[in-house]
Order: sequence, then C-alpha cells, then structure tokens
Amino acid sequence: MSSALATEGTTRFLLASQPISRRVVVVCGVLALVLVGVMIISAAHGPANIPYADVARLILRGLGFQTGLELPDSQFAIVNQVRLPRILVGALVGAALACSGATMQGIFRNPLADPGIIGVSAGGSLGAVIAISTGLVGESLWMLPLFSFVGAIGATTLVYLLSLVRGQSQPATLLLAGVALNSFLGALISAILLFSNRYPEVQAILSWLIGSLRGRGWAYFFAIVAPVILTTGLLFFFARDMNLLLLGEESAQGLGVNVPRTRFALLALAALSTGAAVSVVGPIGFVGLVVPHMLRLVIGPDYRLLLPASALGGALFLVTTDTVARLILQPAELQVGIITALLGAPFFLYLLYRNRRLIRVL
Amino acid sequence: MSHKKRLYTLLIPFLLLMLVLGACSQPAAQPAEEEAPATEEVMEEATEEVAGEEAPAAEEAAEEAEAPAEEAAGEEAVEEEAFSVTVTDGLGNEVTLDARPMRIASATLGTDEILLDLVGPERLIAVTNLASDPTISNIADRPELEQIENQVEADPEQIIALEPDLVFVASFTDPAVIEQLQGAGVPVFVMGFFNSIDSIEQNILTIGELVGEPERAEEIVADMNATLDEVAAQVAEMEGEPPTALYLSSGGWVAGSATTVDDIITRAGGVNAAADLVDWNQVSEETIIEMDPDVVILSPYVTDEEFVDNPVFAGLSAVVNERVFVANDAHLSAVSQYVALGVEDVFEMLYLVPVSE
Repeated sequence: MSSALATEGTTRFLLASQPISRRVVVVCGVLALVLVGVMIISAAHGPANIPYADVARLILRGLGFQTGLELPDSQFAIVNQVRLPRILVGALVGAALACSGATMQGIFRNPLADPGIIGVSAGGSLGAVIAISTGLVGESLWMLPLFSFVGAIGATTLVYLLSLVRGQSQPATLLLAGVALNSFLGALISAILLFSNRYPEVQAILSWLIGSLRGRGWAYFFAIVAPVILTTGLLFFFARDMNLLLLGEESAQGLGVNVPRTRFALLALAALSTGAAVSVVGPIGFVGLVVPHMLRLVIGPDYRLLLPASALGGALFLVTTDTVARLILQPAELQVGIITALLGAPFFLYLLYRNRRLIRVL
Repeated sequence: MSHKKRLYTLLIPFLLLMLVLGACSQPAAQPAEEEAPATEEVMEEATEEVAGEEAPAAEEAAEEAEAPAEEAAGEEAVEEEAFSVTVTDGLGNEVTLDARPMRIASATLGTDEILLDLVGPERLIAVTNLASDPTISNIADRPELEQIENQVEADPEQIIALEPDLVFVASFTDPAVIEQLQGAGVPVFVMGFFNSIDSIEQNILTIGELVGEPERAEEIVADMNATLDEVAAQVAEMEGEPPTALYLSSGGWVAGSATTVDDIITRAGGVNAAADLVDWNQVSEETIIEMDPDVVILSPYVTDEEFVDNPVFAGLSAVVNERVFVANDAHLSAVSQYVALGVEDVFEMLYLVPVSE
C-alpha cells in the first residue's frame, strides 16, 4: 500500500507552476462555470418540451418575481418541483460522494478506497432494505432516509470499533473489517430480497440499490443541504493534514499531525457526508471512486486543490449523468446509478490508458 | 495453551453448522418420514427411466402415485386408457401426457388460480405459497385451499418429493429447475408471457386440454367472456370522449401498450394514457404531468408520499377531480380467469357506475 498515486514530478499537472491559491481559484472557477452551464441545460430539457426562455421565466416565478407571462401550472410544477430540486440534490450528493472518496483514498493511501469501504453504503442499504421490506416506507417520507442513515452510521461505527487496537484504529484492520462487514451486510440484503414474495417490493429494493434521483423533491434537498455542506466544508480544513498523511503515518506524525485524531475526524466526516447522501438517493456507485482519480490525473494530488475540485467535479459528474439518465430513453428513464458506471467506467479507463506512465502503481 | 485455544476457535464454525443442521432436520424430518417409502420407490424408478424408455416408466409411476386419489382414478379408469394429449407450452415446447394427470403440482400463482377451478383440490397436490396471500392471490379465501397439502416454491427437490405427474412453472422459473424436473421424468408445462386477455384465455384452454378438462376450461372462458361482454355493453352506452387512465406502480413504473393492464383499460372503455410506451416503463414525474390522465390507478405499493401527498402531482386533473384509485392488484395483475374482474374494477373507476349483473 505505498502511495499509489505518487507521480513522477508534478510539472505535468494543470498550472503546476502557479501558486496554489491561484490554481484553486482558476480550477474551481472553471468547474463551477461548467457546473452551472450543465445545470441550466438539465433544467431546460426533459420529456416535457419547454423552451429555455420559458424555463427562465418559470424559475423566476418560483423565486417570487412577476414575469408578466401566463405559463401553465403544469410547466411550473415540472421545472420548479421536479427538475430543479432533482438537479440540486444530485449536485449535493455528487459533491459529498466525491469529497468523501478523495478523503478515504487519502486516509488509506489506497487508490481503491471509496466511501463505501468502511461499510457506509452497505449499512445504509441494509437500513433502507429493512424499511422497504417491513413496509415502514409507507408510514412517512422520512422512514427510508432515517433507517438508511442510521444503518450507514451504525455500520461505520462498528467497523471503526472492530479496528481499534489499544484505543487506536489501524488502516489495515479498518480495511479488512470494512470488507468483511460489507459482505456480511450484502448477504443479509440478498437474503431479504430472496425471501420477499412481493414483486413490487423486490423491484423497489433493487431500484434503491442501483441508486436513483427520481422523485427527489425539495424535501430531500432541505434534508441534506446542511449536513453535506457542513461536513464537506469541514473536510477542506484537513487538506494540509491529508497531504502530510500521503507521506506516510510516521512522517505525518513527525511533521506535527495527530494521526489517530485526524484519522478519526476524517472518517467521521466522510461517513456522515456519505451517509446523508446515500440515505436519500441510494448507494450510487463509482462517483466517489472515479471523480477524485480523474481529477488527480489532471490537477495532481494536492488535497488543497483536490478537495474543492472533487466537490465541484462530483456535482458536475452526477448532474451530467442524471441528465443523460433522464433524456436517453425519454419519456422512459434510466436510473442514474446505471449511467454513472456506464459512462464513468469507459471514460476513466481512457484516462488511465492515456496516463498509464504517470501512475506508477500500474 | 493459547495455541490450542486458537485451534479450538477454528472449530466454532463447524459447531455452528452442526447446531443449525440439528435444528433444521427436526421439522423437516416429519413429512419426509411419512412419505419415505414412496419417495424411495419413485427415486429408483426415476433412475431407471433414464436408462429405459420414458413413457412406460412414467405410466407406472403415475399408476403407483394414484393411491391417494384412488376413487377418482377408479371411476375414470376406462377413460384413462385412451388418454393421450400433446400441447405446446409457453416456451414453445411440446408437453405430452399419456395418462390423465392426477397429481398436479402448481409452482406459479397463475396456474394455482386456473387449476383450482379447472381440476379442483382433489387432483392438485401442491400450490404456491403465494396462493394464500390475499394481496396478490384471488383464491386466498377459498376453503378448498386447505385440502391441498403442500404449498411449494419452484424448488426441484421439494416438488419431485411429492411425486407429481405434471408440474406447472412460470415463464421466469430458473431453467435449471425445469431441467432438473424434466430429468426426474416429470412433465413440465411452462407458462408463457401474457400481454392481452385473449392470450390468457387461450392459455386456459390449452391447460384444460392438457389436464383432460377441455369442457370445464371452455366454461371458465365463457364465464370470462360473459363478464367482458357485460362491461362492453355498458361501455357502448356511455357518451362523450372515453376517459384516459394511467396505471402507476411504485417507483414510477407505468403500464404501456402490449401489457394486460393496457388491454384491461381498453376493454373497460378507457384510453391508456401511456399507450405510446411499449411494455412496462419507468417514467419521470414530469412525463406523468405531461400525460395528465383523467384517472390514475395506483398499485397498492405506491405510498401516499409518492403520489397522493406529493406536491408535484397536486395540479394533475385526476388529483384535482379526486379520480385517483388504488387497484386490487390480485385482479389487475392476474394471468388467470380473474383478470376479467380487473376489467370490471377499472370500468367502475372510469365511469363511477357499478357494473350491472
């Protein structure tokens, strides 16, 4: 588990000769602009054909402005209650998953680490599956996210406690405990699926396990906006510590990082962030693994730049893939979890191939 | 010492396994004991069959299997001599019987419903465990169900142990299971996929022929058609544009054209709002808003949050006019004669008048 993404010299990366603050501004500025552009495109397209100008008027009306033009209420509902919240939930979830992924890869110094590695996704999935199969989902809109969030945090806590050696958590033990708990929880989910006699229930579970942004309205947005922004924002403050962790535990300790405490804080923040994301959309794969790697290949491994860029890149990735998922078979739609892997994997393989010399571990 | 201890811990999984096996074998042992001698014979014969010719061996097995249903078999002994039938199942394979089937096992809900009316509990040795679930089964409250000893899943071991002379499985049954059943010398009829009421009726007639009850099958289909004709007559009297209707299942799945639900809506005098889509499709909420159907028929699995209390759908005509109904899925998803009841249900939802008998 050597620093897997160690690279030969940093001069190849985008704007490598510039000071870090400038790189952050330029890279994040560009990503933010593209993100806004994609959001506008996404808001303006769908099975219902509404011109751009009308979409703009409808959004303004949603914000309380008078536009002087009478547009049908059905279009208002489509833009303001279906498309907008879905785009914003997608952006938040993408940001949370990509940032948590980058963090996990740093903590474990392992390129295969993703937010699911410490049991968050599997725990969240089991919680959701229990809520669906016991019929509790019918009780309230919040049952499923609640069960899922509790499952996510419960599983992560269990993995963390299992990995404690003399009060300290060891990455290798953490990783193994995570792998074991993941397959254990996976087996429980499969068992529940197989014992379920009701076809729609099985379909609901499978559909949740693939991950979908369908039907995510404002309620979901308001539920996760604070936790995601708070946890992701706090992760940024650990960027310097994560850079030092990349040098190895002992070096980091020597350079003044309290490794056990930092590791705990990072794990907790990443788990909360991922838990919140997973609880409303399901365990969407690939975002947390691939987005940070894609960015590393372009902008380098410096966490001060990588973390904010991952947040924006993850948002961009998920909003884009969800737009594709909505449009590709319209008026029918695919689940975004399928598109993230379908588009993300080949693109990532292409990047890997192009940069195969840059990545020493390969 | 500590080395020994560690070695012992390796034994824990085995001890657990033994415990589980011990616990499981007790309830399972009882039925096995009752049927032990018979099962053994059949197993021997099943092995012989592979070597020798299939047909005579199968006949022997069938004759021996008659013991529990002796009376019925005795009466129809003459008829049985001449019994020979070949039909094509839902996968397009030929199923041939040289003796009237007396121990029929049904491993899919559709045939549970068809066979209970077609041959009655005397010749049915097993139905599925779904048959007693009132949310999806139309025969859950039938007292005859209790006379049928076994409730099975599509599990080859369980089914072969019952010594059936005919097994019905679903189109989605694992082909490996079908292979094993056929390997044991049991004739298997695989149900097809149904996308219209006509195809369901045709299937009932085919099954009637296979089990030697063609007249009864025709009666059942005639009953279905009588119900459908009553509805059609009432639809013909209705004035104005036929209402549009959408069947919505959990997760945004809607029934497009070429589904039985589409046929049900059409026969009930409505227009399927999702007819542009073929088969079942997952659509976004905005597509549903665009369709704006007059009537929305919800699957019972759709939660209130998903539709009724969802602000996104508040402006839908069906919601504003309070024409949202929860379907009886046992009727609407039936692939048996009970599908005709689904047409009655939907007619009442569309026109808000009861079907006159």
